[in-house]
Amino acid sequence: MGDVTGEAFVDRNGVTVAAEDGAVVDVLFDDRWVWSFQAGRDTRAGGGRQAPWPVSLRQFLRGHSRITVRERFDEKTLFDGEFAFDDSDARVRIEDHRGKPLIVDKAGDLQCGFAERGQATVDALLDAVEDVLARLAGAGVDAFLAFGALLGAVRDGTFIPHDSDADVGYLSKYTSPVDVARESYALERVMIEAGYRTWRFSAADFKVIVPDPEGGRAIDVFAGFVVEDVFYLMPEVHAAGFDAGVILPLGEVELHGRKITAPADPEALLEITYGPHWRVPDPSFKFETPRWVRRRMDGWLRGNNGNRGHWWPFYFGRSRDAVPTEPSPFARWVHEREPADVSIVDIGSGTGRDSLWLAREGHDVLGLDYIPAATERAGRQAREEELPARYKTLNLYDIRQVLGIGAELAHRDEPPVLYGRFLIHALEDSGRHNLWRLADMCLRRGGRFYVEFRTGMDADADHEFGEHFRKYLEPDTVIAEIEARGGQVEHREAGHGLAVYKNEDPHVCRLVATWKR
Amino acid sequence: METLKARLRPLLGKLARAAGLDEELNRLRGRVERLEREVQETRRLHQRLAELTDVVTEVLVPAADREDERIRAVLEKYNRTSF
Repeated sequence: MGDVTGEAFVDRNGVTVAAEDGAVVDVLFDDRWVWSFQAGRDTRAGGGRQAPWPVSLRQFLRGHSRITVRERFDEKTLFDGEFAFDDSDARVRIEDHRGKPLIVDKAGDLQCGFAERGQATVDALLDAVEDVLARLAGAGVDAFLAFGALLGAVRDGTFIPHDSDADVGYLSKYTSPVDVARESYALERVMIEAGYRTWRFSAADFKVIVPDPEGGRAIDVFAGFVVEDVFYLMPEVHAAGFDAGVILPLGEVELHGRKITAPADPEALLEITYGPHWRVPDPSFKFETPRWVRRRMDGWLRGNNGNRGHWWPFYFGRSRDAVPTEPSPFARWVHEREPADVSIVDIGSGTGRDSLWLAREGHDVLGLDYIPAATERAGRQAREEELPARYKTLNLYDIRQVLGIGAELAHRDEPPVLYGRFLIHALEDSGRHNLWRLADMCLRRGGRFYVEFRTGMDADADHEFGEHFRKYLEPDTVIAEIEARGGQVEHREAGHGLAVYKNEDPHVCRLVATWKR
Repeated sequence: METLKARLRPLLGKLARAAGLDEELNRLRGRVERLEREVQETRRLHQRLAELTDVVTEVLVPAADREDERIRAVLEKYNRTSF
């Protein structure tokens, strides 16, 4: 490793380096590589050039560790020594629940890299890549290996050791984003009908979840399309004056000894994707997407992910464990007001604390939430306890889903009771308006909508779960919206003491609304 | 060159103010901002239109035979396989 130059130091906030702009800096814990950053781009401006510890990593920084900071391309060690993050005796363990080491990927998320995975996992993923590519081809699109998987295949014939998922792209024949989105919806249906689970990230890309011996990997399916001579490959890539000959006719590359469908000229697509230095491994790589490209992709195809940046890690990480498991006072209140045989639809079901309890009390329950980790976990719990509860993802920002679920509920023999606890203040305006649309669709023949939300009087209070997006609405405003959508409010109360949690006693409003015509 | 530019800057500023160009520049900046917002608002319609068209083609068109059981089945399948 050579001499330690002392050009870096480590503290609880991050790693401070004296490296030149653009230098790629690797950070190792007990000799294991965990994270890389780029000096300048990822360091705070000013005298101390500090790269803050990635948010995803912070939860693991307890105890002490030997930390090595080195410049990747100069092979220069800038710091090497023991560091204690707190007073505990433990060594820092950056591992998943199975004890597999985790690394920080280019999106700042923790991943278990291929280097740590068994052959069975790699084989399962390769099988799925072949299957997904074949199904996409069967659906009529020109699909190919893309991004990190293509890069690894061309460079080494294997997955990149620090990568964790596989990516495929396809070149759409459509040239209007409306049709590109519709095609992506249709392709997602192909995958679900084939038995895969999926998670959608924009109107033109979704993840296919592949079960494997270690808990599952993902294959991202990205749309590529040309609008006005500019090629766009979700989620970050573009090429002006694009020559379709880069992709068509499709060819093959070798990946772990298998022939996998690839673009006609993989090197050219890799240069478009990663720039001219794509051959040099750089785990600190981040896309520098021009503003005009990002605005187009955002405007055309994104925008249904309101606050998902907060709730995704909340339910996929450990924060969810802080949510109480006993039912909320609101759930008990609703249960007392409704007959036990009434079926309840919990919108924004989260960990399932209320919906699981309502099911234990005998209600038939449908739990809906836009974070798959939340619905999957609650669904597992319901199956284990053999409860009459099922869970499904529902994104209230997506009109398709709102209309689809709204119509299905409207066609039930008995109208449901809708339940939304701490949902109203978690939604942006468009999501809330869709919520009223959903209620309007399925409560016309009866049923009720129970909501409990934080009011404007809670805005300046301290919150046990910290500060994140909350829209504090006055009860009058919410009632006016319900009435404007054809509903009537039959019960209203607001005050403290209704939703006490630890040291927090928020000012909340409870409403019961009907939409019967 | 940089020094020359730095010396000229206050002078150019005065000239621009005298000619009313700074006001014009600020007005145009505001207009570009508003136009960018309008462009983005319009772009968002792509996704809304795609969502609506998807529901119409996958649910409403098969529902045209007005048979309640069939409509229920279509809706159940749409919700099961679309998200």
